[in-house]
Amino acid sequence: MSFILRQITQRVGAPDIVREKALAAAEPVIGRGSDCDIQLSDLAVSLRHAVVKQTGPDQVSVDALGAENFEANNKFVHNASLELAKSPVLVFGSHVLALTQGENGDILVTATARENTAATEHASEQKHSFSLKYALFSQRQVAWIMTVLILLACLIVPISLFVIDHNRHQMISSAADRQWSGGPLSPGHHFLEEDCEACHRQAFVSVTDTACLSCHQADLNKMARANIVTQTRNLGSPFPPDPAADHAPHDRLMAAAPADPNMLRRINSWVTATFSHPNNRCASCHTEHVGIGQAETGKTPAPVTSSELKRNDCKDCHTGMSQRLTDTKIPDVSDWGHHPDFRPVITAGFDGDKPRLEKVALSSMPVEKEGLIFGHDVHLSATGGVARQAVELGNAAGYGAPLTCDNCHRRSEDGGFVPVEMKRDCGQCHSLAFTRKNGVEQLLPHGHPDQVVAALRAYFANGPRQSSGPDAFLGRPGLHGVFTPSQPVDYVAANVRGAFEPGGTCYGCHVIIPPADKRSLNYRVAPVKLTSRYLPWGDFNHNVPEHHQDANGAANCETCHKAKSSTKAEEVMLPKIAECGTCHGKTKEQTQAAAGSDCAECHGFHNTGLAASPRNQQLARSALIRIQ
Amino acid sequence: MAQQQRARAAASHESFLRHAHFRWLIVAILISLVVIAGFAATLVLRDYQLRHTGDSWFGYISGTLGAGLIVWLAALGVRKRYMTDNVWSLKAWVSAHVYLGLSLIVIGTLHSGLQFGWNVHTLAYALMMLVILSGIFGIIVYARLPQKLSDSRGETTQKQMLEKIYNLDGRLLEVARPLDQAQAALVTRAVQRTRIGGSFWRRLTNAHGNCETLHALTALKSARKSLPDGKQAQALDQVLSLLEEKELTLTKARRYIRLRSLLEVWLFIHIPATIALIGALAAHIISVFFFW
Repeated sequence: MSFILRQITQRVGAPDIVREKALAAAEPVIGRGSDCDIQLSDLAVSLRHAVVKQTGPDQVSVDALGAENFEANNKFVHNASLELAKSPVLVFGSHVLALTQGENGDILVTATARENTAATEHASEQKHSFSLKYALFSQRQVAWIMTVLILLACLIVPISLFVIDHNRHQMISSAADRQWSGGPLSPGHHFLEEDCEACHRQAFVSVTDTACLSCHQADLNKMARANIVTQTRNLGSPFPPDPAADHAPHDRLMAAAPADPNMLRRINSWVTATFSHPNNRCASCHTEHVGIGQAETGKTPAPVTSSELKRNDCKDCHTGMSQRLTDTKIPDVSDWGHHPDFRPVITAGFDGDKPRLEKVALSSMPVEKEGLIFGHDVHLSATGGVARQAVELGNAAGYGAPLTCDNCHRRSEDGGFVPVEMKRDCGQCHSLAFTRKNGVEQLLPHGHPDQVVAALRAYFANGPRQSSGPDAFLGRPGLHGVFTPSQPVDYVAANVRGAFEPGGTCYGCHVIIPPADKRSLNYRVAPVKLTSRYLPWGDFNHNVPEHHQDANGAANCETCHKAKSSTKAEEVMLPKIAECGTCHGKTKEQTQAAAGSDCAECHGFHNTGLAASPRNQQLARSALIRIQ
Repeated sequence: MAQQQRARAAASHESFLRHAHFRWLIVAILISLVVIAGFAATLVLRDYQLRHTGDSWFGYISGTLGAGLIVWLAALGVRKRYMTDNVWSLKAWVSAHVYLGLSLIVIGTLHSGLQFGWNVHTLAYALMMLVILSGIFGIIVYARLPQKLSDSRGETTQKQMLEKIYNLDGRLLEVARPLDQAQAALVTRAVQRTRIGGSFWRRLTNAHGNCETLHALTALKSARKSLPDGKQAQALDQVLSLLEEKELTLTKARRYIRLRSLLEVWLFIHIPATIALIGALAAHIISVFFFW
């Protein structure tokens, strides 16, 4: 008993081809593979799909060999037990196998290929539906749309607006500008956030100094300065711009800088200069777009932060600078330990009425010719006439005790002193009153000898005066009352001369230049120039607590200024730099009052010559350079 | 034997990661280390101020390197379309693509100096990270899914799966003729309205709860219970058998579609974002030098 395979191939318009052969295998395997006994050329059929076994005289079983089911009598099954008498039909893919009882007990397997061209075509059409792109979108389309949108919004629009004149398109332009900004500007420049062209004036050219100086130029005349202030205010700046003077003229700065021993940095300089990004611009040190995105909130502009500034090292240029910049007057300073002693600017004399200022070494015991006759020792003595008079003047007048420094020298907010004024600071004792009119004291006009002469002439014109009574002539220190001549003289002239001659009101403090003609009353007073700032290139702040009081809070002026032993105004009472060194540059272990030795403690970079002020000092501190 | 085959298949799927004894992984690590060292040096030279690192030697070099890498990485899309002899095999190319692409995380992030804002520069960075992250997803699915995918399909091809379903549909319509109107309508709906794939989410989640075939199968099964044996019942049995087979085939096809969708979905981010990134990169570079 064996299996006989009858394969029928249907042909359109032609008789079917029938092939018949006996199968050698007792249990034939159905499948697509060439090793199968019943080969079905259909990809839907597994390689070894099922095996047929005879299980009885009239019975066969079909078992699937793999995971794929097959169809037996219109049912999809994994295995089937079939009775041959019922003419079972098996379907594998497009092949139909009919099992029937053959002759001699053989089992006849009739295999017919069934074509379903519609399904095949349909399937080929739809096979792409497995791909996601039919459920989502075309990658190519989306890529193009996104790229074109990005290029348009982020590149073409901003560049076009820059080329066309951006001011006319402020609304769009601010949004277009902002997206290019690498970060917010510093608070001081916040108002320029949407005005890129204020600094970036040319395409593909780095920010030039011209752009910075269009607002920050120093040494302008009043008109130009006012213009700039108005201009920046109109742009929205909350403060007038800080004038930024050059540390030195640009060519001298370049000459003073030593050739960099570092080859890499030399190459760096060359490359940056070649690509229009030189590293000696304002913007080389002042970094922008690293702010916090907030406008100025304080009453004064916020100081430059360390992230907004690239710090340089003073000693790079100031060590051995005299060899590179042979005509410089600035001594070489490699560090705080090698800082030369002070060379104050003093009034060395007068050319006519104009003071002649000179820079002199403190070690040369300079003599200052301020034009005033004054002894600090007399005034600061705890005993004697000055002290007694101060006590007599009493608390109400602001005295009441022997004089101290601050009776005359009043500290100002900027760390310096309010200039001494004769009427306010000396006048309580050295009164300029010479008579009373209706009970009100009449003062001689200080600083104008010709007017003094005129006032006294007018007073004495009407004849002799009394030293008592409602409009009596007032006796002053050194004055001996009304001059009463023993013989007939020019009564008026004699009294006027009294004010200028020895013992007179002016004589004690001023150098009097008497008229060449003895009959003339044309008295002059030698010019006076009290120095208000001895060290204009440094910044000493008297308001720093350690700078004006000791650990107990008592005034310590004497530590630096030996005033109590100074007999003449000619003496320059500045301390030597060693005095600064008792705190500055010391460690906490060495002294409780240890302070920094950074150049920036005293020297600003841009405005070294400006008056000391807390703001300038803050600027200087951030603008300068560490020594260590 | 099957196990051996599977092991070999797994090895070949991972081989773009292991290619040439991780040559490109080593290269990528070396590049990253050099870039980290450059960043550290810049940071020291700049007093530890995280300012614009782009505006420094490190910035220009890392920026050029990053931009060059991005263009080269994107060129995989062109490279894969061409057959070459074994020089720079596609596998080597993919291996380098994966590892150098990952090193771009280090290069790009340090180039940015961690300075982010609502600007075109951060847009380019964000797109770059989007491309890299979607790429990482791609690596994971490519390393894990192809085996599952091939298993889920069994020995049939996509076309055969569809053919089988359409075949079953054709036969269903034939066999369902003796059924009454309502039941025939269920079968027709099952034939006409069954979607194999469906929407994007349906494909990804493989949630086909309201499948018409399943619906017809359940409804007809319960109808069969109350039907006495007879000619109509016989027809219904045939229909049920066909529907069950269709349901099985559908489940298989859908599982396959889900895996294939996972394998493809990241590319729908990776490819468009790459092209958009090249646009944003151009805007970043030009804008930086336009206002520099």
